[in-house]
Amino acid sequence: MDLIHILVLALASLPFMWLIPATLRPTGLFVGSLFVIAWILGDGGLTQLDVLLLFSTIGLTVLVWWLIQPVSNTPTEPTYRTFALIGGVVALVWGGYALSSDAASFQIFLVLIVLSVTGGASLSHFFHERTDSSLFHQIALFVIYLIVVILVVIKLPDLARLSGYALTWDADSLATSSPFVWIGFSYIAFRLIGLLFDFRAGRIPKTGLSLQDTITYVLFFPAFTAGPIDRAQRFVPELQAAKPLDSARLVEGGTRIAVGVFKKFVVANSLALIAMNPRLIDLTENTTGLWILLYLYAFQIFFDFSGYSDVAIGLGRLYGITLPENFDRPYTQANIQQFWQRWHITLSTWFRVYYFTPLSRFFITRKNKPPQYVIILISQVTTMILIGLWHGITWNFLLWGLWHGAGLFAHKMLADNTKGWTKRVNANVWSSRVMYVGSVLATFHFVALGWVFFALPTVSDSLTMFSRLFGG
Amino acid sequence: MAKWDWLIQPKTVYTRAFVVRVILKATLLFVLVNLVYVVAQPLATINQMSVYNGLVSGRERFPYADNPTEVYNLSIGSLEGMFAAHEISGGEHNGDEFRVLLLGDSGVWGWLLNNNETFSACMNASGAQTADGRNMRVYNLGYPITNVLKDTLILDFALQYQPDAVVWFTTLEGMYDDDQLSHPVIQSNRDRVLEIIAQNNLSLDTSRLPDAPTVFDNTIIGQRRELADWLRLQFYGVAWGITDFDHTNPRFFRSPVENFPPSEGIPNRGEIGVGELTTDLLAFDVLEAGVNLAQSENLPVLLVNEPIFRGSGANSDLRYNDLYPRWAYDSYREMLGELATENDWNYVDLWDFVPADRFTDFPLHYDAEQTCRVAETLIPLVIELAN
Repeated sequence: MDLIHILVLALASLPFMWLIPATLRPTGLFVGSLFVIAWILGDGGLTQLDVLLLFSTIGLTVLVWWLIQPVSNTPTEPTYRTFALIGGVVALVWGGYALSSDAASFQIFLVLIVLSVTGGASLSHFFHERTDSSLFHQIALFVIYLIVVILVVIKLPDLARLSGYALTWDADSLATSSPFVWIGFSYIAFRLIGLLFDFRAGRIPKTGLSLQDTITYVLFFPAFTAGPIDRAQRFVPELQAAKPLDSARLVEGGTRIAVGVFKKFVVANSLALIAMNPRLIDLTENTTGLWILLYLYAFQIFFDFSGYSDVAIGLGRLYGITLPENFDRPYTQANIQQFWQRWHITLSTWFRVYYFTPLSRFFITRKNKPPQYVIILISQVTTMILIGLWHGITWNFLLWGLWHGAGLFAHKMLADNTKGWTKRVNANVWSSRVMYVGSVLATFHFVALGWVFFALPTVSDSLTMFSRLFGG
Repeated sequence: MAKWDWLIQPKTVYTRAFVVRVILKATLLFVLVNLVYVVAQPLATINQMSVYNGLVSGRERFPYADNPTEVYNLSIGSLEGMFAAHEISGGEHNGDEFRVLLLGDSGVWGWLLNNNETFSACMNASGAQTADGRNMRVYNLGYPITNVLKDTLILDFALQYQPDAVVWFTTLEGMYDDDQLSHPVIQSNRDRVLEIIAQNNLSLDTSRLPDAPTVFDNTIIGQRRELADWLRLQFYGVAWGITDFDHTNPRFFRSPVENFPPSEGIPNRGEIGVGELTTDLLAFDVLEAGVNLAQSENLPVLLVNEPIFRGSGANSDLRYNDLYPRWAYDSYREMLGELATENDWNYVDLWDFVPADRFTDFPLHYDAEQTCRVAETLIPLVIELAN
C-alpha cells in the first residue's frame, strides 16, 4: 500500500461507517475488500495476470471455506447472496480489464455481470453437497500441500518466471526478473492454512464460518499486503460485532495511521537511503562504517515493518475491527525469546500454534521420546528456519532462520542452567539493572547481526560482511 | 499492549467535540506555522544547517548526481546548501593558507573521476607553497554543466570564504548568451542572479528566469521539494562519511565520436551561420563581470581555456568534435585571447594540451592522469598569482 491507498482508505472509512447501517457493514467490508485488492493488485494498470491472481485467490478461499464447513450444512440465503456478490465483483473487475484492453464491448460487459451474479448464486448449491468428514480431512491436507507448493513456486524466481509464462502465455514474462508477484499471498496462504489446520484439529466453530466472513477474514484489505496474520476465531467475532466509528475510534485509528505513515514513509524510507546493502558495503572501507550500516538497517527494517502494521491496525480500527498487535518494542527486550514474543508477533504466534507446539507434542508423546534438549533444538531451529523461508526461499533466509533458532536454543539452555546465578544477580538492584542493560544490548546486537543474512543476497556476501565487521 | 495504552485507554475521553477541537487546532497550527514560515523564509538558514563539516567531513566537490540512489549524492539548487556540504565551509582561512578557488564545469568537478583524481586533488597533493611560505589549498568549486553565469554566481557566493586566488576554466559551450539562464542553479537562485545582472548591466533576457515566487511558493508546502532534498542530502552525508564516495565511475563508456557528419553547424544553434559567431552572441560580458568581481576583492584570476577533444576521423577537417566546428571554435579562441590581452588578464590556452586518445565520454572530459598533467601545468601559474 502506498500513501495514496492509505489516504483514500482512511477517508473512505468516514462515509462507509457513517452511511452504511451496522448490519450491512460486514457485507460492505467483504465487497470493499475484493475491490480494494483489485485496486492494489492492479495499481499502475490491471493486467491479465492480476485478474487471474485475484480470481485464484477468491477461488482458493471459496474452496477452503467449503472444506471447513460442518457436515450436512445446508445452503443459506446469505451464502447465495455472497456467491452472487462474488460473481458481481468478478464480472466488474474482469469487465473493467476487458473494457480497458478493448477485449470486450460494454454490452458484453453488462451481460457478463448479469450472468456472473446469477451464476454465482446458483453455484452456491454446488458447494453444499458434502457429507463425509474424514474424506474432507484428507482433502484439506492436500490443499495445505497445494498452498505450500504455490508459496514455494512464487518465492523461487525461476519457478515464478515459468509459472507467469504458463499462466499468461506471455513470452515477455520469461525475460523479466520476477513477473509472478502475487501480492499478499504469503499472508493469505497462512490464513488459509491456519483455517485448514483448525478444521483438521476440530477448532472451527460448530456452526461453521459463513463464506462472507471467511473471505473477509482472508482478504481483509488493511492487512492484505503486510499482515498482521489474525486468527479466524478472533477476527470473525470482531467482524460480526464491528464497533461503530465513534470519536474514540476515529482518534485511535487516525493516530495509529499517522504514526505508521511517519514510521514507514519518513523514518524507514529515509534510513533505506543509506542502510546496509551490498553496494554500500563494497564502498565502505572501515569497520566502524560497516557497524553504522548494520545499525541503520536494523532500525530501517523495524520502522518499515512496524509502520506498515500500525497503518493496518489504524485502518482496521477506522472500519470497526481491532486487529492484533504485531510489534511491541522488540529491540528493548533482554533476551532473544522475549524478542520473538515482540517481533512480528502474529507470524511467530502462527508458527507456534500450527507448527512448534504440534511438533513438540509429537516428540513428547512418542514412546521413545528423545531427550528434552533435542526436542527443543529440533522444534526451535526448524520453526525459525521455516519463518526464514517464509520471507523467501534462499540460502540466506535459511541461515537467518538457523541463526535465530540457534540463538533461541542457546538462550533456553543457558537460562535453564543459570537460574541460581540469575536469581542472585537480580537480588541486587544495581546488578540487576546492569544485567538488564547488558542483556538488551546483547540481544539487540544478536538480532542486528542476524539481519546481515536477511539484507544481503548471497551467503558469500554475508560471510564477508561478518568477517569485515569483526576486523577481517 | 502497554505502549499504546495512552491511545486505547486514554485518560482523556475522545468525544466528538474533542475530535473537532483537535482538527481545528491542527488546521490553525498548520496555517500559523506556514505563515510564520512565509514571513521568516528560513530555507536559506535551513540549508546552512548541515551534517557536513560537523558530523561528517565536508564534500570535496559540490553535491551533484544524475542518479542519487546509485551514488548516495544529490543535486540541489540552493547555494547555501551546496556550500554547507562543501569542505570550504569547514574551517576559517588561516594565515598560512593560499586559498584558491577552482571554477568551471563537469571537467573541473571531476566527471568520471574519483574525488581524489580531480584538478583540485592533484594540485593539493603537490604540496605547493607560495614564495612567502603559504600552503596552496585548492577548493573544487566546479559544477556541471558548462555555464559562465553559473560560475560567476558561485564565485559571488564564495567570496565570503576569503579566497586568495581564482582559477577559472572556460570553454565555448558555456559561453552562449541564450543558455546562460537555463542552468538549474541559476534558476534556483533567481534573486541573486538578478542582482548580478543588474549590477553589471549584463545583456541577458531575464524573462527566462522563473517568475517571482508567490506566497504559496514560500510556504512549507510550496518548498516541500527543497526541504526534502535538504533532508535527503543530510542522510547521504552519513554514506559520504562512511564511504568517501560521491560519484559513479562506470567501467564502460562511449568515447567521443571520431567521425563527424559533413556539417559545420553548431549543435542546437541553427540560427548561427558558418562564420557568424560574434562577441554579441557570447556571454563575454558575464565573464568580464566575474573577473571584475574577483578583482574588486583584490583576487588574482587565472583564466584557462580548457582542453578539448580533437577528432581525426571523417570530416575532422571541418570539426574538432561534435560540439565544435573548427571555424566556430577557432574564432572563439581568437576572441577570448583578444579579450584577455585587452584586459590584461592572466590567461592560459590549453585547448590542445590533452591527447585525443585520453578523453573519456565527452569532448571536455579526460582521464585522471591527464587531469593531473593539466593540474601540474597550472600549479606554477597559480603560485605566480600569489606574488
